[in-house]
Amino acid sequence: MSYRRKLCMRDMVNVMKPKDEILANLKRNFILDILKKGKRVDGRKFYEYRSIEVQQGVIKKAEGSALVKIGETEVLAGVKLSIGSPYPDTPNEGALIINTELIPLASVAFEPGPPDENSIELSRVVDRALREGEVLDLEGLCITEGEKVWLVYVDIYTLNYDGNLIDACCLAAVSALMDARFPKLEDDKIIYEEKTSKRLPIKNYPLEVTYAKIGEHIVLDPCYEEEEIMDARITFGIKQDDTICAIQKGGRGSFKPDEILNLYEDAVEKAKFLRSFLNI
Amino acid sequence: MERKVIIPGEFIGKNVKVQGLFYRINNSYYSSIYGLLEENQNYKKIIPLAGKYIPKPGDLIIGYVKDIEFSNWIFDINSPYIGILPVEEFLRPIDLPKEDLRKLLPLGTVAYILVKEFGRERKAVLSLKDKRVKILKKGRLIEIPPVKVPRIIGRKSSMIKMLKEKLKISIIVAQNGRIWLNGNVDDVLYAEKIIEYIVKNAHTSGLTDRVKEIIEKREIPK
Amino acid sequence: MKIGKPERMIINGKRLDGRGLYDLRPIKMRVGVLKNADGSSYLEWGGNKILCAVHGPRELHPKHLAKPDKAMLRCIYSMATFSVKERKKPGPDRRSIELSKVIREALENVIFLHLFPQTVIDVYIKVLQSDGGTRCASIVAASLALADAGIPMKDLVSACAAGKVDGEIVLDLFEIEDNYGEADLPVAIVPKTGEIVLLQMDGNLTKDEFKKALDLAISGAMKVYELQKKTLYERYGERYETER
Repeated sequence: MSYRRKLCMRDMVNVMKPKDEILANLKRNFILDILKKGKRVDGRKFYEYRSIEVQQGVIKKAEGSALVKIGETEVLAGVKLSIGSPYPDTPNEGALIINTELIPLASVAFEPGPPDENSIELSRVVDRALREGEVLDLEGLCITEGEKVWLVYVDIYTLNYDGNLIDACCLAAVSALMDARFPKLEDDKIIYEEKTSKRLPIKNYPLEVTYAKIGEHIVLDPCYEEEEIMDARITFGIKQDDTICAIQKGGRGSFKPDEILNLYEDAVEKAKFLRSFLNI
Repeated sequence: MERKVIIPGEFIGKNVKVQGLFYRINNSYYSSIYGLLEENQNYKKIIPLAGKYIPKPGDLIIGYVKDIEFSNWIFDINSPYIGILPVEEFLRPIDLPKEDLRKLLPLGTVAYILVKEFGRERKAVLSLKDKRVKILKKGRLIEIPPVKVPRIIGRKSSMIKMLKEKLKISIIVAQNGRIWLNGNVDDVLYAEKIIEYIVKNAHTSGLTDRVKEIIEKREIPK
Repeated sequence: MKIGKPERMIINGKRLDGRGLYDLRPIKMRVGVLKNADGSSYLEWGGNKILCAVHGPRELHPKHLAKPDKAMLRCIYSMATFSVKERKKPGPDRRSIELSKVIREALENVIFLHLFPQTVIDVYIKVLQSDGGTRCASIVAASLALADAGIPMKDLVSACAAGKVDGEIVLDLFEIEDNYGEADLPVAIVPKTGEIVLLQMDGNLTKDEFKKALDLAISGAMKVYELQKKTLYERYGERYETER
């Protein structure tokens, strides 16, 4: 990612956030130094998440919502439902539409305006895990075959950026979908004010787990500083039956096949860990 | 010394001497910012709780080269304004057509550097012609709100002296809120936590003693 | 009659949410909530939930936009897609562009922009949940975030709306009253001087009603101002003693 200007935090000690990669050498050397000693800047183990918090039902206007914090990274997901017509090739299926936005609130690096490539990649990677992992039983969203189906929109906003948005956004999306209830339907008109007790037809619980590679070292859940100087990144989308439903490799660096297989093993465990925050 | 919180527009007094960001209507003085008001015998001082670094001649700051022009280096100085180091202010005379500025101070060079001028053009003119300046080649750079710098230094440098002595690392605290730490990696990471603690508790009293106690026990401050 | 309009919105002097005619909704404010911003605030005003971040003063790109004698103020008001009943399409619409403009103009009145020539101060307002009166709530939140960022100002800006519902002049309309009432009059003021820096109205009021509504809105804004002050004072505790 490229950053127009460094971040400046209030009341917080903040590691220099350089413009582009100009300052990277000084920072990279320091981080590599401590990784060699088996440590990370924030004192974590290599394969350890920061503290995680999940809070559901924070936005009443939404049919479902969840606020997720991973360390200082904070994202908010909201679910809205509406009625539309199904795609011609799937007349008995509803649709799931996922949208992720990097808003300028979260970081001085995020500019207002149309989404940039980072925003779009994030959106698509989260979408991929949920779509391919079949988080919803789309047939359960059918109202009248070939005519009316539920459209489920999940919108995710980044409120504070401190690295690893992918895992946070995916966890927030699944959590918000689990929190959602259908609104009341009267003569095909939605009464948004009245929520029923009926939940969305959740089929799977796909979650994403991301690692960063810095030099020869691989760490789970990179924080901002680590993301900034990482060589490569890899994300696994894992379902509750331990199968993979999505992968995304990012960054200029590379992974060896062995590394990927080992990380997959670890990601399965980490996805289980993340699922424990969803109480399932 | 007693201080109280003041907010923008708050009345400070009539016919008083005021230091800091204030405005005046007739003889009445009002604060322009959210900050602390310190009551001294002859004057009142408004101390900001937040705000960006605005260059001041004589300040020593930490910047890094973010661009190179024909006869200047452009520095990021953690301010709304940029810093300019003209070739004349380099360590030695430079024969411009023959020498490559990119080799003398490449992009990304980090320097502890003097602010020589800050004029109407809103560009800080920097200089390396001072004994105290330093090119920083290794170590760790962190950033704190510039308004908290006096707290890290302490009265008559009490805090910074104590930190250097107890933490056993080199520390440079620059006026623009950047701090350079160098030494054993564990000590550097620990120092970062201590500095974070000082920043968070900048408005409380007896801080130097409390910090000293924490460091002596090598506690991780909350 | 509009579809969905309640038959009566005022019953025995009480409004649909239980308030009297001249009552404010409950308001909660916090400052310094976002780590990556220079200043920030979070405001809950009835069912409104608003997050505001201030970045700056900072270098302006592209350079030619910079003003030689003062800072530029940019303000972006935007609503989360799930902040309203029916999902709002992402991206700016005409309404949010207009609101961004009037909010910015209200704030420009109090900020000492000439202290930071050639720079920009950015104010980002995100409405996470809306329940009527978001422009007033946004101004209140933005002025707190600006103070938190250490931006010099002659005063905070405060705001509140009044309006007409079921023939009565009421304070601080919530969504249903906003949608189905007869008039809505959002007002923002500089509390110290009483100057009005934002004033809009839609609906119908007689001269007397207008006068009453304006007075009421100003009195509401003054109450909100007290809460703003309290929020800022309490952030660092009441008193300070320091070594320096």
